Amino acid sequence: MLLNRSGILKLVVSPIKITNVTKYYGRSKTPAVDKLSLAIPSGEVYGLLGANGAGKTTTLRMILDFIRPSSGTIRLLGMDSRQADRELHLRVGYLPGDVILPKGTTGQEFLQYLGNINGVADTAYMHQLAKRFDAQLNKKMDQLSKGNRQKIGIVQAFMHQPEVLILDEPTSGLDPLMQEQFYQTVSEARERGAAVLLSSHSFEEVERMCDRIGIVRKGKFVYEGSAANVIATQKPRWRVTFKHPGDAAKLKTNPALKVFDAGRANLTVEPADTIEAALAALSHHGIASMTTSQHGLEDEFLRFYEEDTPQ
Amino acid sequence: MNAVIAWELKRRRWFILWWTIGIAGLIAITVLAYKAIGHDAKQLNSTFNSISSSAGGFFGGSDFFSPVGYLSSQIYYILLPILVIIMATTLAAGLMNRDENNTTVEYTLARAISRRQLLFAKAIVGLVIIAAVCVLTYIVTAASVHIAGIKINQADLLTTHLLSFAFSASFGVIAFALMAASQLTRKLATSAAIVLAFGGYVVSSLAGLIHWLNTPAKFMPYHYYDTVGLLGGHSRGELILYLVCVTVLAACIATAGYGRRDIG
Repeated sequence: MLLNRSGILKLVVSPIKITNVTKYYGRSKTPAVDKLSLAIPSGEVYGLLGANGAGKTTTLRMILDFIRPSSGTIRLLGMDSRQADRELHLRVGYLPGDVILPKGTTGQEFLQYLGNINGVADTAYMHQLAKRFDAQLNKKMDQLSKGNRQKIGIVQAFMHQPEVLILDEPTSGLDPLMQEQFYQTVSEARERGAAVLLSSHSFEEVERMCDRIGIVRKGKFVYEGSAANVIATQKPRWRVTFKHPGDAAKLKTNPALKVFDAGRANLTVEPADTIEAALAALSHHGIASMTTSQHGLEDEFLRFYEEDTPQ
Repeated sequence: MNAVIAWELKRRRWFILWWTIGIAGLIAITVLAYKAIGHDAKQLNSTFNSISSSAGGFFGGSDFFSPVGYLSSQIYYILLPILVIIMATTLAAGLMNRDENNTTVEYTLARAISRRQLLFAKAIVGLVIIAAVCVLTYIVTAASVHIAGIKINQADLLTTHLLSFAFSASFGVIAFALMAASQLTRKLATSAAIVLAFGGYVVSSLAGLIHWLNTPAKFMPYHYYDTVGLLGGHSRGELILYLVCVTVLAACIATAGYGRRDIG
């Protein structure tokens, strides 16, 4: 509950709220999404990260009620997503993962059609977006490249200035210049107070755009928080070169260290427990050089998936 | 909903045109051929009278050359139903499956339209297209019948044409309902409708020849489709009852299923 400017109590509801949602496809005994919970307030950009098949797209499609959860509840703008009415959908923008557009029509006709469903006569913002993304509205869809189709997909998602945006891999196929335009458009939507949920494979864009991220693995969150936080809480990784070649072999089985790569005179290690214990173990040997590798979100993401990587 | 109807109709304008040309063209050629053989109708009929009534069942009777017999056996029993069944099931697949297979239906459903409204809009589009092709092909049929000098009551011809279209389109309605009902039936819908249509035709036709097929034939739509009777101005009650039952059942199944099943 918040007091607004007039001093009136206002109930603050997360525009997107998922509670304990599980989804099984067909007769599969393995859930595509497993007891996932998530709440995104207005003015926040949330990034879903995960490998292929982790459950990102399933989650996004459940929010829009294209597919129904096996259990759990999804509330969109305070309403059960299954009961979502016409008024509610006027406030939602969606971009699917694979932007396939109807053949034989132009982008202009398609955008007009989508606008007509919503009964939106004002196309000023649509044209502004089309200009910003240099979208080719007069060409038939079948003549457009993937990147140009993606631009039309982005325009249709943002053109009615929705309060909620669900975007599945939105920058797929865009060149760096257009990616910049997209970041700018998302930033404007955030400033307007929109809640944005997007999935992505691009760590750079997630780090750059998202206030919070969720890393999904086998339908569950393995991490949820800020992108900066996930990097900061990770242990450092050192590349150590020893003065005496035999020292590397001696340290390979030291319980204070987690060894990733071992040469004759060098090791790549992480603290198995505390940094102090690891430094103490290393300090008993002559060290010629020691460097710390910089971790990005991608490294941390890979760590969450390490146990799935074939040896 | 109006936006969806207008959009879908616009996308299918070539579908309407080509199917109208195709069906009308084949009907016109077949009907006009009667001009060449009509004056020998009695002689030809006496030649073909030796054919058993059971075998004649495949062609809707054994009178092939009287005006009613010719229109029944050549147009309304086989040619028109085959074409319209293919058209209607193709149309149903186009309306229900195509946008779902390529995920473009998600753009529409993410907008201010409910699943039920979308389903209703697509059903209306289907009916409008079938009605348009029906009316246009009737005009060509009536003109061809006139040119060929076939003496037949125009009201009976119109009724037969409408009911033949409705009967054949009912298999498209069945396919449409199955596609809407569930993910499993969506995959089987076209095959099921085609098997019911042509399997039913074979079973109903063979029922006169093979006694034990009489009972299963009663469960086949073709059993209620008597073109000679229709052209003669009767046999409409059972067919209309069948059409009403199929439409109501299909509407219930489609609405209940599409409202709750997964999309895509």
